[in-house]
Amino acid sequence: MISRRRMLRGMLRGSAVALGLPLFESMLNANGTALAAGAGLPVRYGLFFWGNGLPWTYRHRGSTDTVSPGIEHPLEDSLTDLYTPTTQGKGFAVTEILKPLERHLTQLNVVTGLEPKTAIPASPVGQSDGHMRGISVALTADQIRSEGFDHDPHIFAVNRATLDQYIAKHPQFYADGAPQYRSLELGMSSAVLHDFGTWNAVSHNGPNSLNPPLRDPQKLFNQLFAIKPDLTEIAQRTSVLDVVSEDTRQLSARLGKRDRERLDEHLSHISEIERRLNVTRAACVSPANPAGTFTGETTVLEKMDVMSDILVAALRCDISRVFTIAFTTGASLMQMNGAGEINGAGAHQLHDACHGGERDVITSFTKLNFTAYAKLLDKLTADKDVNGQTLLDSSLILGTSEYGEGFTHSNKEHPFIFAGKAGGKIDTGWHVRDEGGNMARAHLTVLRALGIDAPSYGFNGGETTDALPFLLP
Amino acid sequence: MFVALRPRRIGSVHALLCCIAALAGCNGVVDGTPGAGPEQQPPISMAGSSGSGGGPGAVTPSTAVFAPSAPALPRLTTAQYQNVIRDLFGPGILVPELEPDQRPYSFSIIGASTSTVSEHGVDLYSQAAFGISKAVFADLTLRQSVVGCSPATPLDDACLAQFINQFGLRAWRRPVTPDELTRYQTLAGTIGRADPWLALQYVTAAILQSPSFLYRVELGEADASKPGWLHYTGYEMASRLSFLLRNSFPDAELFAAAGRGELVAKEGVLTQATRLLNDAGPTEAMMSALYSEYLDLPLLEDVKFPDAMDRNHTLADSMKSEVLDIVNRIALRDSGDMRTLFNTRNVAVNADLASLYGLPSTTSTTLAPAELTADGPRAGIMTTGALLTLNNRPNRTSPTIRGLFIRQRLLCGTVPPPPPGIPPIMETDAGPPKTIREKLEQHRSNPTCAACHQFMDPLGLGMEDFDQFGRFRSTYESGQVVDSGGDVDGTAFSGAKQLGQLLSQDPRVMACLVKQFYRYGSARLEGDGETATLEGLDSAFAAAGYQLRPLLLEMVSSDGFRFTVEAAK
Repeated sequence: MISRRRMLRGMLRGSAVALGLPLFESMLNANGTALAAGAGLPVRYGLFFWGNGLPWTYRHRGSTDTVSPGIEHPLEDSLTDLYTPTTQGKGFAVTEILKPLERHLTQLNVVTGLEPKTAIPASPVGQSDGHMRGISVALTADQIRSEGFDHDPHIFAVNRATLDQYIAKHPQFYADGAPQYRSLELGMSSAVLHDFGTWNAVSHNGPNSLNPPLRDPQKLFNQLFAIKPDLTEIAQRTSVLDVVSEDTRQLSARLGKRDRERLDEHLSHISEIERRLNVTRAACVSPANPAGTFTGETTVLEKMDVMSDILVAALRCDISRVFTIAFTTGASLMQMNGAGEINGAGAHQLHDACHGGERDVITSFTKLNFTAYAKLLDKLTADKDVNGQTLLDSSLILGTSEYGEGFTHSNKEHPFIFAGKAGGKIDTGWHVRDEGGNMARAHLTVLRALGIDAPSYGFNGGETTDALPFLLP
Repeated sequence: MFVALRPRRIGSVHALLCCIAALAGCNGVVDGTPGAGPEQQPPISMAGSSGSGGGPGAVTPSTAVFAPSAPALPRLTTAQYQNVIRDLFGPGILVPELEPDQRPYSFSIIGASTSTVSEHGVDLYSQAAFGISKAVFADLTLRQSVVGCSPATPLDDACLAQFINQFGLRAWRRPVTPDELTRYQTLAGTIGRADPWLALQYVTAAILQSPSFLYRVELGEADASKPGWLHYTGYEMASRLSFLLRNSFPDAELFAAAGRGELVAKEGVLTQATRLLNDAGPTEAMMSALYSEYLDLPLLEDVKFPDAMDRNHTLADSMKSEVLDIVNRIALRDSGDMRTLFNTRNVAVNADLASLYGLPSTTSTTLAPAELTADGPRAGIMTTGALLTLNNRPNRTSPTIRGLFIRQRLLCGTVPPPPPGIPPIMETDAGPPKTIREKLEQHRSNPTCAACHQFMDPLGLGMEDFDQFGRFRSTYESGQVVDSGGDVDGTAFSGAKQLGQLLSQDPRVMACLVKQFYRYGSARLEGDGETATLEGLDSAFAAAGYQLRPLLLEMVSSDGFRFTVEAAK
């Protein structure tokens, strides 16, 4: 019997176009557990990132902060912790700040107490900065890149690939060949602290090598679902890319190490683009075209809605299996009112509110982040496939920020909210608390849940061989 | 959204924060050696700039020896890419969106050298190249003028080779090699010679995606008279001059000079640079672009001004234009002393700004020259709407961030970020309202806060006579009297005008300017061996009465700009 894929191509006279068809039974094997070609069912990984962490608390009353010794945190009963569940284990009660995620609680694992264990070099000065250290460790399980700290204004750079890129490029993840896109980088709020750029991305390939997020739903739609060039054009473009690749190879050979690495990465991007031109995508449901709905940021929640629809369609179409969403960026300056209206009446600026001691504002901002997270999870659980599984069931999403407590720039109590069952490889519904635990345990848990061999993870003092307890079989 | 926080030091201070430095804290960070505690005088290298060791007013002769740095390999910035397409194909060809620049160390050109383009970025370059070439070749007149010869059907070797060589030279800023010619001729054949224009279109698309187009490949060649050093080739110097002085690829005359071998020697470089600098339009555009990045002027667009000040939402634009007009007037039109940026009373105002400055009102929306009164509170760019508005909080001034801007951008000093784990000090509602000065008291009285804050707050506190929208004030809304006393590393002043006066006399400011221009022109930070270059430029700048053109001429003819070494493999 002709594969559906070939039949569809024939129907469309050689043009590869997305149609509206879900995962077909014919694509599964007799047991319905794997694609007909013998591959395992795809597992997805996603990052949901929000900036500025959580509202501060006086959790540490009486304790000594190890980073800044001698600080006594005053007693203040009114600043209770509104985030951390009071009980551990399964069936924990939802807290005030987690309320927006309440309907998905059984799909989540809330992990509290972790902190970075990476070393903080004394020189050049400044590498203990909470924002930069927090983002680095949360995303890469490594310290910040030291280089550049002795110049001003120094650049924030990571030492290594962020977890999403580590996964997307890992031979065990796309073991049977990568789909059209190894990864997708999305963003919502564009209120970034600086134009310097490195703050704007939560996906990095290595030092000074960012994957800036797409923040425009129309552009995302066009990139993923617009009509592909016809076969003749594809052939012509491929020839051009071959020549350009040769140019790049020749230039790279003449360069010093540092620039050669940049050009080599450029070359690998050209290869990816060439590969993608020639990948035929399975027929799938195209999402609605945003068609000029977004001319600017109206509310981030509306945008999250539209972007998520496109993302979920992309996942369902197996366009990619790795994504990151920078809902707000590190040190976000998003200006929003309680209804999520950008610059709406009564808007507060997030970073400023954080430092301005406006705890109620920060609390409601944080809940807004989780409202958005919940929206994404709604869409990932909206449809069931032939096995009664939702997309979320075969995904593992990691929700995190750059901080434990934004106001104090504290990297303790760093929040992680896992979502999804990773195809059955991770249990859900837990509050796992590991007070003072190594943050890299979260990353290690992710890798193992995705079926990636990971004896250890974490770097430069942040190494661990232990995943989080209870979650993995 | 309101993003008046310019500096990269996130949360560098808040009124209620006390920074408790667990580490060495603020000390000689520029040279990397930790200094003593806050009781000591500010270490010179912290407060100062460049290699000249002395504090304010002191000039220490140096024995620095010049050694060239390895080349940078910048991609074209988005502005440069657009200019290049405009200059290759005319203004009618739209450039599709590209991946935005990053701006470490203030300048997008440095980001272009240090960052690696992402996969999406390469995809955008690729789509741009295919789209632009399609648009060019869809225009029958344009394609004829771009190709320069009439191709036969099937495409003939002569026209094809001529096109590749001529267009390639302009696009790649250097002659096409025989090997490359062959490769591109083969490409044309693969596309198909039967449709000559289509083949040429795809050859164009390839040329525009080649790294030789996207990157400025300036690697130098061996110099017989200087063993171990390389000098930039004539074509490379043409590119360096052109991208610095007009943000685009060389014009015909520069290419010709390169072809005649005139741009390796100093004299040839000076001749061409002088010519370019005398071309007012592009040079002013260059200065505006540089200063826009240097001062973070685009952040003004995110400021939410009170309605009364900004009914037509034009104020941010007016403020930006005004500062750039002052800069261009002094730097280029008047060939003035750049120090007067900080104390000039000659500004340019329109209706928006006349109102802000208390000058005779005008209905004009375009800028016209005006003079600030001698006895008023304003003189110099530190008192312009732009520089007063930037670096504040939405609802109040931030002396710390204002001070940080001056320390980093104007004095080329370095201040590390605050350490984590700072406990919040909640302001109690009881008691009389406090001024910002009073709220920031801990920054001065607590030695561990003062370690860093002494380099910021005293500068910004002296600007308190202007609010966060650039309006002069002698009292706060609470009725309390404004105290605008500050000091520049021990030299006391009061008010932003006096601050400007001090900055105009502080040698660190001009040394910092020199350094920033050098970085901008080199597309990278200065190397250790270039301290000598910077010192030489400092002296030349002073000798030329701090005029900009002589500085730039000195810079482009300096060893630092003309020589390089092989990068570590």
